Amino acid sequence: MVSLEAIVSGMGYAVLALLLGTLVAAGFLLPTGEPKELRQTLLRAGAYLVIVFLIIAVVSLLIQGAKLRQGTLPSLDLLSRYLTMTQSGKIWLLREAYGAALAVVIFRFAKNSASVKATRWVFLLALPLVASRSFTSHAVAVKENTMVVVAADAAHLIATGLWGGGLLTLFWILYRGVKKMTLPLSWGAETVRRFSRLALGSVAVLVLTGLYQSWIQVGNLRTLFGTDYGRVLLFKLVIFIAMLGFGALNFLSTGPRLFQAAQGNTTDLSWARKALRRIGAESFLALLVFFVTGLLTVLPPGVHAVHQAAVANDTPIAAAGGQSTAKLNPAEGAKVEIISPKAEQVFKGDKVPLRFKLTRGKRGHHVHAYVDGELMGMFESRQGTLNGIRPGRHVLELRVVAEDHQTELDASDRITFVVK
Amino acid sequence: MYSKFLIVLSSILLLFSLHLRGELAWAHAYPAVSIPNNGATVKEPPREVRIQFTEGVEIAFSQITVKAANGDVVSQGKLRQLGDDTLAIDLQPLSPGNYTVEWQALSVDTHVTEGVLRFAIGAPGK
Repeated sequence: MVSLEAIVSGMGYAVLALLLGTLVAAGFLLPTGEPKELRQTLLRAGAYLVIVFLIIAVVSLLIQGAKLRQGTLPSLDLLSRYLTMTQSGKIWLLREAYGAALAVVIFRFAKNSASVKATRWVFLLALPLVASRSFTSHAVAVKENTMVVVAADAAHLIATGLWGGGLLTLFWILYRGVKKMTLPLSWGAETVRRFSRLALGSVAVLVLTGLYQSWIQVGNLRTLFGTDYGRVLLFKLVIFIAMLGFGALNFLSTGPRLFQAAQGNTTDLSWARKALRRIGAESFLALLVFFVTGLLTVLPPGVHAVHQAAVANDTPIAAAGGQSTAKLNPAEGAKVEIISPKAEQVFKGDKVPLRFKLTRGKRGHHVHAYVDGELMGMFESRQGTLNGIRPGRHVLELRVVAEDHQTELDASDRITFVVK
Repeated sequence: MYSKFLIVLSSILLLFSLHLRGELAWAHAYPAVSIPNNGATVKEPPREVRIQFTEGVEIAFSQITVKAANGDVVSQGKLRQLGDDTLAIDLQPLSPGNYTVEWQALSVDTHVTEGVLRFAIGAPGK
């Protein structure tokens, strides 16, 4: 099931990337003087790719239903409840509706010989469809700065699509031109030059957003090398570096040599064929990246390795007292200060808003909140809410804890508040 | 040259996939904190079990069932969502002994996880 989910997820990424690739080629890469039907062919391909993506999304939905039914085929009732009662279900519905409308729009443009300007609008309309995957990805589950992480993930997806999908489309255009001799060499050289500029911009976005996401989802070198997620990410990085190598080769050598060959008005297509082979190899690597990304979406992020291991280990029942009386470890620079509630502050209802200032030091990761010595929750961000607090005077203690949730540090703050 | 390079790379990918096959696990919401804490022995019988997960969870497809040592279900009422990442279930009045908390969660990033936590009331092991 996990393998199937990863493959279907990878197919989804590949199809969306190809969609962006065909639309960016139709709107931005094709130089003037292209055969008229080429833009229409690319637009039609874009519309079909949207439909393929929608079908893949239906398969993903069935897999999701099967996960909720422990591997058996989901009922219509279960799917209906999933789609209407969960955040990811509602996003699925919106995405299918938007995708269907987008396919109709692209088909209409393809039929009516869309102008370059109209084609560029279609490209812009496709971006939300690609970005929508970020709203059901690991990014949406990050607790701090969620929208920033989702935006970075969306930018990463779009940049991957522009580079990888653009490469595959470029390969197809050059194949058509070189193998079938339907396009002049100068035209092919200009297309490669335009793509190289697009690829440069995409790589810059990929590096920035990739580093940021790795920091969020992996956290440190230990999880990078010690978890499945980290190892798959490293493998993706290896492919990315290989792609960069081919990209540099194409940017510094293939493109200029194609131009030289085109300016010489030669009928010798050996350089064009070489370009085709190089771009083909880079395109293959791009396909690998999509499927490795699909695998990453089904693996637990490295930062959850500690929690995953805790679930796998059957914890024995300990002596009475629990964590609140456990031996504290040296603070090593960690500090916490309660900002809210203030001392003796009075609250109505069972919810108490909490704000605090945390200095993590060497080992600190988050805080545990104890009310009257009983653990009531953990907080990673600088604020949160204590729920279910009974009426009366209470002692709140925040204690800095290491990433494993077990190692409590000698860094705490304490305050008294009242609930009426 | 390129075809050889791609064959080598594909082989590495295949070996890599085979290596991972046995280790894959579904992701991704895991209990970060539970009340009573996992493995703890508490003096007073708790009125509820509360689990705070590492990610936001969907209450419609999540559940918590608390069982006594003889297998009787001692949780009651509807599952409550106290925050994006926190679920709670009420308990019947409990007597001293060992209890298991079976949980299943659907995280907001679409993954299903499940597991068991334990706690005891009174002296451990009784």
